[in-house]
Amino acid sequence: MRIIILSFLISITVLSYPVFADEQLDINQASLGEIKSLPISEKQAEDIYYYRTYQKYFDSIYELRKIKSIDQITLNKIKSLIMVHKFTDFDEVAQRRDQINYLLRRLASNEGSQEGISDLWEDLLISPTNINTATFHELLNMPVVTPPDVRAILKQRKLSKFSDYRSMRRSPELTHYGATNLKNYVTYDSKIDNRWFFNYRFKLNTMPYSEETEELLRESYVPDSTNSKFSMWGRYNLDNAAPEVSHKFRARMEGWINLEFGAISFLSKGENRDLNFLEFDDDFAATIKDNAKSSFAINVKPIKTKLTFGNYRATYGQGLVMENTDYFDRRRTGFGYGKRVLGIFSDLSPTEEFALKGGAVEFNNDFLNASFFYSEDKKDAIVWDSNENNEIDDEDDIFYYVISKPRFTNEELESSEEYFNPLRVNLQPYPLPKILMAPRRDVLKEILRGGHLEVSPIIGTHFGITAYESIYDKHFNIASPDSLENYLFADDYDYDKIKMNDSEISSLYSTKTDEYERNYRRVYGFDWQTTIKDFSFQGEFAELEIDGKPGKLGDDPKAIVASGYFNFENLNFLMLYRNYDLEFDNPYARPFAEHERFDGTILEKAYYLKNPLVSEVYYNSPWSQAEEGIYIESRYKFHRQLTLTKAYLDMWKRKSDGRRSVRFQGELDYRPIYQISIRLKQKLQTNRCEDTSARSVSKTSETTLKFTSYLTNRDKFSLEYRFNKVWMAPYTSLSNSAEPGDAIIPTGNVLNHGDYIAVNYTHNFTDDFKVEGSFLFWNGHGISHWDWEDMEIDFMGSEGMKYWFTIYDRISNHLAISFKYKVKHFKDEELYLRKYNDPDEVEGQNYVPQTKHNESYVRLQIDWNF
Amino acid sequence: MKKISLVIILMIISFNLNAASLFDRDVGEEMRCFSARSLAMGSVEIASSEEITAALNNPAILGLLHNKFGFQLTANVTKNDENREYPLYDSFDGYLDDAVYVSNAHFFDKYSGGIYFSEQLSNSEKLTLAFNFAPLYNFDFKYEEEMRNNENTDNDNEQKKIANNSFIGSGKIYAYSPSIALSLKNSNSPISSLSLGFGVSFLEGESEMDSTIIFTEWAKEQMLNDSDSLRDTTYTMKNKYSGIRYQGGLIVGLNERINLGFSYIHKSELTKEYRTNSDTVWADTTIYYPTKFGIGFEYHPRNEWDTKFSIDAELIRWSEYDSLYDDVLEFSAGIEHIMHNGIPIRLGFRYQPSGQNKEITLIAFSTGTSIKLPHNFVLDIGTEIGKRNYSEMDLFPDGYYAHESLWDTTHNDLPEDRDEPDKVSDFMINAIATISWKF
Repeated sequence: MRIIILSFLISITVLSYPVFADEQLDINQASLGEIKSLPISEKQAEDIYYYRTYQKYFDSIYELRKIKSIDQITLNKIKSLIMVHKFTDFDEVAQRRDQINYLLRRLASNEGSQEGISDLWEDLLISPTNINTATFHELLNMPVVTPPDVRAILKQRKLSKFSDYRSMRRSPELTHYGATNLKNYVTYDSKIDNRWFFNYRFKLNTMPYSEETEELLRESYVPDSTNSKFSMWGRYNLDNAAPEVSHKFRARMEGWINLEFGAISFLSKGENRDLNFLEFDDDFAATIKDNAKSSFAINVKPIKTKLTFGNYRATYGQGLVMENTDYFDRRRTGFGYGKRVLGIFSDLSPTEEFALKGGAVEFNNDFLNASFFYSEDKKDAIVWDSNENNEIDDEDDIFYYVISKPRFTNEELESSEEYFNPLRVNLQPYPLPKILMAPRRDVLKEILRGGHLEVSPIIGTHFGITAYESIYDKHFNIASPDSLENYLFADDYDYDKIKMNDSEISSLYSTKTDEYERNYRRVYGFDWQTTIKDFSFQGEFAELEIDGKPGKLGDDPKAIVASGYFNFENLNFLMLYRNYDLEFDNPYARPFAEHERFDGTILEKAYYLKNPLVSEVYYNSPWSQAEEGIYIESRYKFHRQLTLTKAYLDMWKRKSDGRRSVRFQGELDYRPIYQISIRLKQKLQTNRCEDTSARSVSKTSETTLKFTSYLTNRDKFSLEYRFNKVWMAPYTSLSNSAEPGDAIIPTGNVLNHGDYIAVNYTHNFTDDFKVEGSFLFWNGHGISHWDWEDMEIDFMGSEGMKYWFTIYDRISNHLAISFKYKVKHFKDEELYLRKYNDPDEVEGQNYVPQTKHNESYVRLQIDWNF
Repeated sequence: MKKISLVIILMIISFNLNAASLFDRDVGEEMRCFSARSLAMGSVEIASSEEITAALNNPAILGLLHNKFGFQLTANVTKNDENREYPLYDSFDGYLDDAVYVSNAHFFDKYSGGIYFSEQLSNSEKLTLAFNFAPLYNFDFKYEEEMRNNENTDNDNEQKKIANNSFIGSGKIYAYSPSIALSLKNSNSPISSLSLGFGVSFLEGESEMDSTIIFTEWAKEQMLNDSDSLRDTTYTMKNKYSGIRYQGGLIVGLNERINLGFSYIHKSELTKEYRTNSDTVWADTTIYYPTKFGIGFEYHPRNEWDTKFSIDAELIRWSEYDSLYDDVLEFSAGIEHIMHNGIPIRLGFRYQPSGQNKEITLIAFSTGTSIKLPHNFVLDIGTEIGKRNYSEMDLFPDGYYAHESLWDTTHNDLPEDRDEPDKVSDFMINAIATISWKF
């Protein structure tokens, strides 16, 4: 009987299964009412609904046990009544944003990257590129992708379109790195969804001014006074400077046309501002006018034409003719992490001085790339009393462009000069002259028009020409070498401080000379690239027109960059030659260089100048220094455990004084097992290597050992030790007792050494919540250390310690927050002894101890996408 | 129960701590929030809260409370480090650094509480009544400074102390505030929920500021025979405040993920009675604490750790208090994650410009969590670190002490008042605990 009953029950169960199956409730889709219809309490139903709505979709019915109110008995009771259809909450845009963030962090940790570049990458990559329609340039603009890789893809595409990543990866001659680097930024179908994307970003940053900026701003305009109001720092109370704040909004739509518009308001630290939008008044309007950028772009895909209005960025070739950013990146080879993004793009970056504002049109297909751009904007510049009427006025000429931090208003600058001038001229016993050289905001009107034309006869090969003309409403007027002292210095006592490398200043372009007077600057050049299998050869040549004959090459100040690049599966090799004439003064050029322009000139030394603020021309220089040299770089993966991640050798000559330097860096990464990485990095540099008896010889050695352990769940722990040595000519402040009377320097060279130790830990609590932090202790005797914190570089002198942590919290697919807090304790060398380099200057009163500083800062960023 | 008793005892002990920021001595330190959860989330209280006392900022919050009856008590202890500095120069008149000449670190306390009762009128309608008390403006501060002369220290002598200066404030303006809120729900409507609230706050309080200079016995001896000797001084000012304030608010649930909150606090008219010292008679005047407009946003996304994110922006019309003051916009942002084990972690950020000068801002970040206690009690704890820098003239100018009998004038002149304001840095650590019970 039991068997009969059991058989009956089994058969009922089996027979009724389809019925139950049909009626099973999918708890990933069910409404709250449907869940309540299950044989559970109302509270349990609400808890299930809550879990699914606010935590995650269920992967299986057994996940119900994670809900506190659902016990095993309840689960047993309802498990035959419910089911789970897997439902992923995947958001392609959110995932891409994560990938971009990862990329940006890698870019940032690669020395030389700057914030302005990050913005561009971010804007470019957020819209994926269709690999089946993209041009050579569009693919080459992707991060880290090389010309041979792009050529391999385009050759394969001619045979058949790509349907997915695997089909792309199978392209002959495409390297593994090329495929993986492209993977996250391309799509394979041409589906048009006309979807709008919106992004808002808020950033707040209270980061203190750098030591050198603070020193510059604290320079007293009335030197014999201890009144802090006699410096720009004290006068505008920069101890309490307002934080840097920016709001950025961007919208874009992808369809048969792409539409994009956006705006950014950017207030750098310490800027006067009034952004109370609830009281829209003149101050608010002025703040927006001075500190906001906007752009509108439409890409009409059927005719392959893009129109951009408002602020835009233009970059061509090797950056010799045009690359408009406010940031200098050293050693930008155009490859790897030093890549340029070529073409015209909306510009919503913090770049202010070299922002282009107007309109641009770009046509781009496989054979032809043509663009024209027009900009009309006012620029900040240093003005000097060229008409010698003892005033800075509208009739005066321009010394040069300047990027100011903070960007004082003209009212602030003029009122300061009015305040300082009477005090300076009445100083006893050594009066100082009036300030007759000063920065002014929006003082120079610049109309810029230019274009680029490029043909690509075969895949991977192109020839292009680029030219632009700037029309000015004022003259650039630079003093000759003979009168440079009088032009720049406050005190004739310091005139002999001028050195040969200050010819970099006297070589700047004047629009008014004894031979001509004009209102323009014209730069033109040509660039090329050819790719044959694993090898590409590219370069650019440019001239600044001086003699008025644009058709004749080689007769004007010129510049050239040429490079050859080999790309094999486990090895790449780059050789780059650059040669820039000292007189090649193109303010929009950002080619490869070791140093920024004016490095080593008198502009470094604010305390000698008529106006310390003129030093900002050097301190915020975005321009490349005139150099000639060869740079060689390589990466080689010996085998799975050992990689030469990056090695380079640079040998160059500074054009202004012929100083020759050599720099080498190599880094080996040894991974005995995947979870452990041991990196050894060695850096060597010698300046003035052609004449080791010269006073300015310096030799630097830096050794870094880094141990990284990759833990589970992408957690990471690293320990880093760095040791530096610098041999250099003696400076009193470093080699002598600070006591009076000991200023005897018997040594030919001094050795400074310093080291640091750092520990860094990253912990991923979940995929969406991560904390990263670091402790660092350093010691340096005259050596400046640097360190990558999060996405920012930090310079550390003398000795000290710091710690910081960053919290990354992706609240949802649409909202992400990052927050950073940092504390730094450090000693600073006294600021002024090096000005005199002579402890005996004032007998008995020259003991100046090091001073201690404490600083902390917060950075907050909110990203909202919808 | 022992645990609860201990917590309550600790909270009561902490009530007797004293002193806050000198910066706010005229207006009073403005209280932004009244519970540990809010403080840990950057003081958001307009669209996102589970606290009764949030009704002081937006009474509509009461409509979000789930239980039928509850109360809460909050104790807040603040340590304020205030350093005053002036610049040091080297012998070339180059700036070296700033020297701290006085450092004050003191504790102060505040406490607040509330009770509520709610009644479900129908399936979709609920009425909530609450009563709260809390300090809205806090006048506690403590500043102590020693004045020493320039006596040579070569022979291990300490510079002689001339006087002890102090500047001490105390008092608060309390709000006693009944509130009412009506909340409506309709899942079929484009607006899934709506809560309307209104409250009235009866404001009462007093404050006292004592400024004293007490010369040391040594100084008094030095000036004993001088006809122009400097005397001890004590200056006391007392104020009494009374008035009324109205607050209203609205919270709109746009869907199951987004709440929008709006709050309005009407300008408070207070009668201020004052006397400058104990010998003078009481006089009175009318002062106006500012109107506040707030907008808040709460977002409840799908996240493996149950997450709520909230942002508040509040316009405060300080120009109504004093025409020379600035109207300011304050911002707060906070996140709450509930980890897998049910324990919350909270993070917050606050940006608060001052009405006295909008360039002077308090930037603070905060964190906190919650502990479940027996018998439906919950203990929320939070901490906040904030920093504010500003400049101010010397509170006790040096020239006042320039008496020849007190100083060595062989090589130096008598001291003079500094022309330049000193740098002041306020560093605040707030620790807060809220104990609540809901039924």
